[in-house]
Amino acid sequence: MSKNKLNLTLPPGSIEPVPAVSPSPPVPPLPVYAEPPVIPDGVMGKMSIDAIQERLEELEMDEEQRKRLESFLGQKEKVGELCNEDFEKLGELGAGNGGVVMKVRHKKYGLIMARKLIHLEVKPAIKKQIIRELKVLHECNFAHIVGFYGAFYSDGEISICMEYMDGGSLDLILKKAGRIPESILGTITAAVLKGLSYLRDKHAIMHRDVKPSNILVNSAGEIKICDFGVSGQLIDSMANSFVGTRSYMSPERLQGTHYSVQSDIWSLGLSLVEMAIGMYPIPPPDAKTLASIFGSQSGQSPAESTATNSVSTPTSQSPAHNASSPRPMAIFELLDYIVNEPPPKLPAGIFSNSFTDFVDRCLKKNPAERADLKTLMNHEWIKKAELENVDIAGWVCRTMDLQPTTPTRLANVQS
Amino acid sequence: MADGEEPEQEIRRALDVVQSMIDISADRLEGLRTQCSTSAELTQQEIRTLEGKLIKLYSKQLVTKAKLSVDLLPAEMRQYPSLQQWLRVVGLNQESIQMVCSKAHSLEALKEKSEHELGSMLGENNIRHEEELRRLCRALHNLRRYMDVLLRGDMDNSEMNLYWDSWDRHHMRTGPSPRPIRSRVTRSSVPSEDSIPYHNNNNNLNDTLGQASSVMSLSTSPPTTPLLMRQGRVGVKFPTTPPPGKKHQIGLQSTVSQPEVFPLTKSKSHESQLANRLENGETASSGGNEHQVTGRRSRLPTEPGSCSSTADITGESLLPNSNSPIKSPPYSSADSDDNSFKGTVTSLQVPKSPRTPTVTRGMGHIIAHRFTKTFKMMTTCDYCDKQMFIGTGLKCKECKYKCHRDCESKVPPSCGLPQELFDEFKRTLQADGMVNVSPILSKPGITSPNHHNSNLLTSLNRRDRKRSHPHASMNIPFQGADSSSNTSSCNSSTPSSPALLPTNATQTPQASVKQQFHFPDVTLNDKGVTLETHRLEGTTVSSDSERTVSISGSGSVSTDSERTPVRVDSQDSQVSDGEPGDSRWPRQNSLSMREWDIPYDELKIGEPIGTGRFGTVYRGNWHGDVAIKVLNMDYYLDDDKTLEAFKLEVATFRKTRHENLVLFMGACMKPPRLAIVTSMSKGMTLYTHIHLRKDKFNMNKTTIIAQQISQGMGYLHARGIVHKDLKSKNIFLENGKVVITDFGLFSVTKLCYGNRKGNGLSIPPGWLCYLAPEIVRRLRPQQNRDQEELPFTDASDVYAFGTVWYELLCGEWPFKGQPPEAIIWQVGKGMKQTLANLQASRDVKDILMLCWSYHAENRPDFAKLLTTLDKLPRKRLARSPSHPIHLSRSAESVF
Repeated sequence: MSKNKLNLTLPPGSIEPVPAVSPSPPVPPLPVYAEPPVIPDGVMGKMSIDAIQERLEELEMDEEQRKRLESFLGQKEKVGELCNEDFEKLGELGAGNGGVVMKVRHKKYGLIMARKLIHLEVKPAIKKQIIRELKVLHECNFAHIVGFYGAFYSDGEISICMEYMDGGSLDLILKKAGRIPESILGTITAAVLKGLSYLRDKHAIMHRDVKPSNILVNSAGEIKICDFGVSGQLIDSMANSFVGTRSYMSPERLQGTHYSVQSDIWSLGLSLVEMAIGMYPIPPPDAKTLASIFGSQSGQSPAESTATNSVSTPTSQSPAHNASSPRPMAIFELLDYIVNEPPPKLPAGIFSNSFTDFVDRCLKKNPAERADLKTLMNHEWIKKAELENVDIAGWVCRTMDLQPTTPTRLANVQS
Repeated sequence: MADGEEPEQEIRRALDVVQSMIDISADRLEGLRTQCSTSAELTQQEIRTLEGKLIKLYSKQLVTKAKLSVDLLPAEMRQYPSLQQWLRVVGLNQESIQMVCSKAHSLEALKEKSEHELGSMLGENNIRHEEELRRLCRALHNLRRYMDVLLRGDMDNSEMNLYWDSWDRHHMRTGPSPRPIRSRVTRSSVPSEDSIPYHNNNNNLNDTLGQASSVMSLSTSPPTTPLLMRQGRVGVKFPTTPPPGKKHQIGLQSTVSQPEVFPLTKSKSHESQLANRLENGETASSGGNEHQVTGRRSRLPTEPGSCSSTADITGESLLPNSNSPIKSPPYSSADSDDNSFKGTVTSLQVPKSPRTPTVTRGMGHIIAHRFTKTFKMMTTCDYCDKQMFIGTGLKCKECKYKCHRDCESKVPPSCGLPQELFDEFKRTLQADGMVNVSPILSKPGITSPNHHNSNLLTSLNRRDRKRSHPHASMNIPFQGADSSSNTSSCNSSTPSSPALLPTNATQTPQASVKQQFHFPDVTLNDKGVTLETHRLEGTTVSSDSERTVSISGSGSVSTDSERTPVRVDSQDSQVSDGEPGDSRWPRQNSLSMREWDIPYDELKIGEPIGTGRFGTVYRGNWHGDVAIKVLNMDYYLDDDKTLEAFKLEVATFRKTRHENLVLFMGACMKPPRLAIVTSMSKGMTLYTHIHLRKDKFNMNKTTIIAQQISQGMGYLHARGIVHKDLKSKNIFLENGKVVITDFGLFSVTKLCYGNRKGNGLSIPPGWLCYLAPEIVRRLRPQQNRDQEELPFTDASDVYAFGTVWYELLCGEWPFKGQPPEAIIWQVGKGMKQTLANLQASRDVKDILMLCWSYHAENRPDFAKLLTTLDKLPRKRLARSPSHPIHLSRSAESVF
């Protein structure tokens, strides 16, 4: 039943050991980018299913995941090139950085997709470059990466068509659920780590924007990451960027120094704390706030609680369900907090020690001290999560009021 | 309850708004007096504008306040208006303020005092007594006057001169005897004024001088002069004897008043005064005429000066010499009206030459130009209005009249005469259908015949308005007339002055005859002119409606004329047309605003050419190609405050006239249609050059561009305008000339919080790196509308300039490729883009580092930057930065 085998190991040779960035003892050597995958000529864009299948063999996915992926690729091949006229708009899924995401139906095949529209006013040459860069997404086929159907330009907008995830993103779920239970987070984290490893190992890509809204789930219990920085040109061309009330950016990136995949780890750690306590943890909630969130639990050990480095925020922090309410902090203040104040951590006494430790390792301000992907994937908390059979699908459906679907059925329906 | 309270609230709100505007204006006024050269005409005009504005504000406040019983007012409002502030505004020194404050407790009380009482309050010993008393009396008088107007309800309709010339004159002359003149007499429209007692005697010399100089035309006889040209404000006193030094005076004497044009209602008072003064029959007889004063710089005169109708004084000049030599350099007059005092210019009153017959229509001047070749400039021919290229033109040494060599023969011998005179003259002639030959004319050479009908003056006044386009209007007049438009000073009187004679070799009776013939031809022009005027008024192109406008724009001369009754009328009608609805807008603003208000329907909106934070920019047409920025109303519908802020900002745009700034033409100010209309910028933006086309500028060109930006920005700052959004996208390069756009719009729109979901600060690409640390630190993910605005200042503009300088040097933005959060943190922390890879001299980098100083106070101002930039070594000399040729010639890149 377990979706993943325990003790996953990376395929030999897929990762080259690299000297540790820093000599900090607790952290094992930091693996660096694997060599970029070798892509046979002519495979770009439209790889033959065979070729892809061959490569799928190399990835650690269980049978079910593989099947789903194959099914997806089959549909994708059938659909072929996309254009504006193919779609019928069904609704808006959300507005993210630089664009709107629409739920659309492919008229001819009845396929439901998520179409991200990014408004761009750029010269044709730039458009082409962006579309070209986005083609890399065709090669990103993995159980924990959101599937990509294609990208095109029309009417001043770049469209990126992706697999539709009916559960939505974790920030939406968080809003509804208030908090996300540790066990669910464990499974989610395991999936995200695999996704990040895949990107790094197979494509030498770092995500750059890990946060709850970029982790998607569906009613089949799948967990996938999306919106990773594939096209540098796209990033450069984006009209406006939004800076919101939260930042998941690592201290080293804020400081303009060199950064690496380790930066994604920070973002993951921060996201985990937020999802666990139901509020963005910077500045840290004070004891009172925690008490209102966790009731007596947190009151039990006030001394140990996060109150140590918490700042009492004058503004009333609302309990869990208010995770989204902005704090009256200037952006700079928030960022400076990230850079100069102690990192956030989980309140003591509420979560397992292994989870707390996992988060602490992610949220080291010094990237060299921060655990790397491999270490984290072997972390006790992740191992434990993989052993558990957590019903993500049920949780998603309950939380989001969806009809459960089995993965297979899902695939069937779609095809 | 609502019924009872709402109006009160409204009133309180209004009081507050007015108070804040008073604060702003008072600060600016203070700044102008203390930080600008008050001898500059621009400054003086600016001061007058502000004075007028303040009078209106105070009046409004007093009137508004009176509507509420004191008990209902919150404590802090009871003190509105602050007496102290008022006295500072008036321009008293600290000591005097204290004295007055100790004797009076409120402005309301103060305004009831008589001049004598005021005098004793001020203390007699004060050296500045006379001047201060004058200021105070004048200001109070104006205040009363305007309050009357407000109370009568016909606000807006009177164009009144409300200023009192509160700058310090170094040359205050001690006039012999102050004769009080009534200043406002002229304004027929406001009859009440006359009635006010205070006025009469107060006018100090200064007033006179100031005004007179500008205005005074030479009117006929000096004695008469006392008329005040300026509508109420100017009280001119005339020293009994005309100051010897006057250089120019124009004497226009028109004896005949033309009732049709504008009835001079008020004339009585004048007359009486006049009568006293001079018994010259003419003047008196002329009755309604007032003197006009023509400012020296007739050229620029934006405003209609107003002298009143003209009076012609006959000219008996007491002092023959008084008329001075016309020749005063026309432009020189520019210095200031007030300078007249100094003696150099002063021309206020010119006695008329004895000869001048009383009423004559003829324009007797024949004053030949003294042309020399000119090599320096590229300019426009004042005669045919076509472009003159370097080396092809002639320029009159005396009056700066410029024309093609080919046009020389056609140029009227009107050296030193203002066009207006000329035009008027024509008009009159036409109207009368006669070619008049004034007796005088016949002997032009000897005596100066200056007789202009009152009409001339009046017409002049009207014109002034238009003046914003000096060329256009100026040219026209010339053709027919003799008067030289160029000369600032209008010395119509010239003739009388001996000095002139020598110059005018030409003056011969014949010549005069010729001139006369010319006039008829001119007619067309005249019409054109007048039309123009009207249109302009509507458009507001030139200056503020406030009188100041006229002043600032152009020469002082015109100022006086503004007030002419005629003008008033027209103004009134306009006003009435205007929006009746916006009562909440302070009166004075609305008045001035009106002139800048462009009916949305008149705009032809073309294709969109860009989208900015504040809305969309369209190509359009409104009397020519224009850029129309239609503000995105989603953000501030229903937001009165923002709307008011918008209007206030627009009000400041009017005052921007600089080579390196886009021309502000007007605005649509009726929600939901808010739009700003500017001239169409040609060329490409620096952004396009640098980031899209990847153009590289060599060091010379880079420096020249930076200098021009600094000039434009320095000017803006001098006007009290903070750009707030200086960036390469807002800087156009038109044939090598920098044109800065979009100043001051940022706060109006506050649209940066435009995320549709409202959950984040939307950051346009490249924007952050222009923001100074103090601003970056204040950025918030969400901005409530009422929240404090970002702290843009002159210094933050300098920071932004630093970034533009960096772009010019490096071809990219600082912090390139970094995410917004990273830039925010780094800039907020005081980190700067490293210059390690920038190959440039120390000096060049120093400029960057200075501009990017973390502490605003360490950043240089634009004046300083200019000198620094000037010192940068250049490979080749490029003298006139704006000239494209230089750029192309400039050396290859220095790097």
